Amino acid sequence: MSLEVQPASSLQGRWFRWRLDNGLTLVVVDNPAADIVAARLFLRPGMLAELPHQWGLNHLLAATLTKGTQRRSAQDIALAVESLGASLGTEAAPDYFVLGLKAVTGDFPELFELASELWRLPTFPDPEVALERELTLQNLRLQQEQPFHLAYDQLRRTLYPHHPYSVSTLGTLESVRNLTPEDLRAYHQRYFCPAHTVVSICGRVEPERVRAWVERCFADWSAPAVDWQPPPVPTPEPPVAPLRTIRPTQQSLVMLGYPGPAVHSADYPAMKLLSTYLGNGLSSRLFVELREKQGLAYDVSAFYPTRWQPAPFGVYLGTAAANTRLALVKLAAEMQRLLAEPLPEAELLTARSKLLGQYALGKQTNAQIAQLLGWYEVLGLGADYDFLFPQLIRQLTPEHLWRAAQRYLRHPWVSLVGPATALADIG
Amino acid sequence: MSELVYPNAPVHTITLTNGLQVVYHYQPTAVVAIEFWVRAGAAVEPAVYNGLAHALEHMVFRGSEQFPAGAFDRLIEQHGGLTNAATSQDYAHYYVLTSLDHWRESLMALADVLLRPDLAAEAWEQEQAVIAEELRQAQDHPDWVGQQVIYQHCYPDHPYGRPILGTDETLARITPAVLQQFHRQYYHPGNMVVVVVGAVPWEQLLAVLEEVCPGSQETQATTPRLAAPPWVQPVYRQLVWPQAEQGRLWWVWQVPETQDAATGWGLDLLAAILTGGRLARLTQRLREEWGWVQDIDACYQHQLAGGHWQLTAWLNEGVCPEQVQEVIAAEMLALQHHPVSPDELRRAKRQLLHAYTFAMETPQQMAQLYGYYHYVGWLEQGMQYRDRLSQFDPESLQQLACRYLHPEQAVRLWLQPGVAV
Repeated sequence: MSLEVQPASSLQGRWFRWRLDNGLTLVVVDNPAADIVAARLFLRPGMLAELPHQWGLNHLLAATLTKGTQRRSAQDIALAVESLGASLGTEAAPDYFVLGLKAVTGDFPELFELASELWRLPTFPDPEVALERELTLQNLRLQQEQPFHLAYDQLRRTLYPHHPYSVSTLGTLESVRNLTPEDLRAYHQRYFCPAHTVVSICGRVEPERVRAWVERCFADWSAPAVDWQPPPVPTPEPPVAPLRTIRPTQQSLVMLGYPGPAVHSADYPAMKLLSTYLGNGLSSRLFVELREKQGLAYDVSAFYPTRWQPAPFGVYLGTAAANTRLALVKLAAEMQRLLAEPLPEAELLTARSKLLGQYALGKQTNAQIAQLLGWYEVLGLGADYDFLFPQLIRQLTPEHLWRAAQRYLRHPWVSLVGPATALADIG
Repeated sequence: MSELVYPNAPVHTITLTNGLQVVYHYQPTAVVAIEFWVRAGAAVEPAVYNGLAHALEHMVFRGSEQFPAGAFDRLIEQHGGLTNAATSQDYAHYYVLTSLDHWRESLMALADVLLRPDLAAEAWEQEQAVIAEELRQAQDHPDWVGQQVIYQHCYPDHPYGRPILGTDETLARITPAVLQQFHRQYYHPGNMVVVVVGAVPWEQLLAVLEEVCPGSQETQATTPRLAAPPWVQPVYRQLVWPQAEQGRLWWVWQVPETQDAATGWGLDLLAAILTGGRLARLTQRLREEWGWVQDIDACYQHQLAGGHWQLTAWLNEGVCPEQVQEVIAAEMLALQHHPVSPDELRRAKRQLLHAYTFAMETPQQMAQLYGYYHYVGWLEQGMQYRDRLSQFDPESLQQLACRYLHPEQAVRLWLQPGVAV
């Protein structure tokens, strides 16, 4: 077993990291601020391991992991969690699968033991899988109500053909219909192993005692590590005509998307800062120009998720159907401006302070801290990245951002959702 | 100054000579949460200017003489802080989250734009377009649409039945003069509560507040008490909504004005027993056993002149709303006829107690809770939350259910998905 101690972390307490003999990674942060302990159990690689006919498998796994183990029924599990007044939830993400739990400190060992049982011995009972599969299909239909979702969905389908990033974590109607309890059991058997597991815990705890709890629950676990390769990333050309979905909505959703870099890319910090500059907060460029000055939108923003493989970068707004064309022209002009010349230094400094300040504000609760450090471990960046990321952001100059924009933001994918009359004349 | 002992540290309250009420909690964190609660919610706006309170909340962010267009947002965000606001029927609520180094200038700036906003004609013209977009966006969401319809039926002939966002017609009537009049009437220190949670020294905080909100309490009127909503007959409405992919069902009961916070906590316990977790009665039957709903949620919403207790269910395709309503009616009736089991009650209490602990983890969460409780006059009762919650027994919950939640008294709405055109 190896131990590292991070001396001067940007986090309040120090964080500790161990690698158990079976390969499981454990990160612990002692944060005495509240009488709460939060834990996150991560599994690499999430949706990236799904083949197209299995899309949504991790989501269905998340919905049914808590519905039965070799020792307990769905009812027993719910009773254990709810009797403690704790929270326990699961989630599928593009790059990982996660089980999160939160309890008052005194209840934590009992809850963590239950979590480890769910992690190691789930049974995926047939009726529970059938129920959650139906509910997932309903949920997929419900997603169709949201203009943002429709615009984002058609964008990622064309940005990432045949790749898991092309669909929501729920999967598709076709793929979900065909998922079986056997698929879940086979996937669990193959991928759930210590070498792919990261346990991240934050709260009013003594790290050494936490390690003892985790070892008690996991040290005797010896599933073999899986041989796994990430899927190839497609590199499509931008479509010649805008992507459109016709909906009888009051507003049109106007979105420009681009294939951005992965988190491991040297351009990742610059693109994060560009995304903040454009769309984060009331002083962001798009908010001020398109909302405050031109009244084109209420909701206007940017996205650039942190991903293991190249991530989509985008900007969007919702606007009155009659303003669809105008909004598209204005949004495109803002993106062109980034290519024309480096941003004024003062604008970069404001965006930088905002990004760094909000990054710090995102680490206030134990659950947030456990999530962030565990995620960095899963992405292969290591918990140290929490310290490194702000430094990388501080080093950026207007030229860095300009070069990144030149590299990634030259050719937009245009994605539109709205009434037929509004989209008809945009070619 | 009075001192109340909340779980972690004392909460201080004081009223300054200018009438401003201050709620303060020293918390040794790097983050400071600052909030203003203004007694200027949508319910006090004239009906012809429906949407005015929310419009003024938008216009505050358009700045003042000292912080012209965008300067306030930039000041807060360039130091890594956050700011935003929300308007409800009872109040407008503004907040800033900032680092300890910047609490002073952030507080001064927020107070300045609140007390001395420009409300210029050109800015209002721009902001009207933004609010029109907010309204359009809301109208594209079936949950929002159904919620407005249920409020209309739950609070007929009462301000609580009106949309906070207003309508296209009423928004078009609002002029800068109307905004100024509303601001003069309600946005003065005597009509505000400021909440500060963080490592801010008390003396320095007082000095800053005296500086930004000078003077003594003037004769300005405070917000009048709102009349209680008229009692409403049970009604069942149906609405076909082509944009909806899924049907939604609402059951809502008016809960008359109460000074007793514990009534609300008891209603929270009933909500937890019905929908708070997989074992909760309605979740268990409608989602887990029969797969009829995507989700079902119950909650009590307190309002100054009278709140409501609401059930919302998102029905799966092909499920008949009458089937679901029969189950709801049977469970609501069961709560009146039989006391809940001690185990159920124990779980519900534990869930609420821990939710309370989880909801007090950050300065922002604390500030919001103290601010809200102070606003509705429950700060002192709130101190007793744990003790009071533990006193509930099955019989007292049964009494609450009988008094407030009779299935035949519910105001109901079925929002039915239609064929898209």
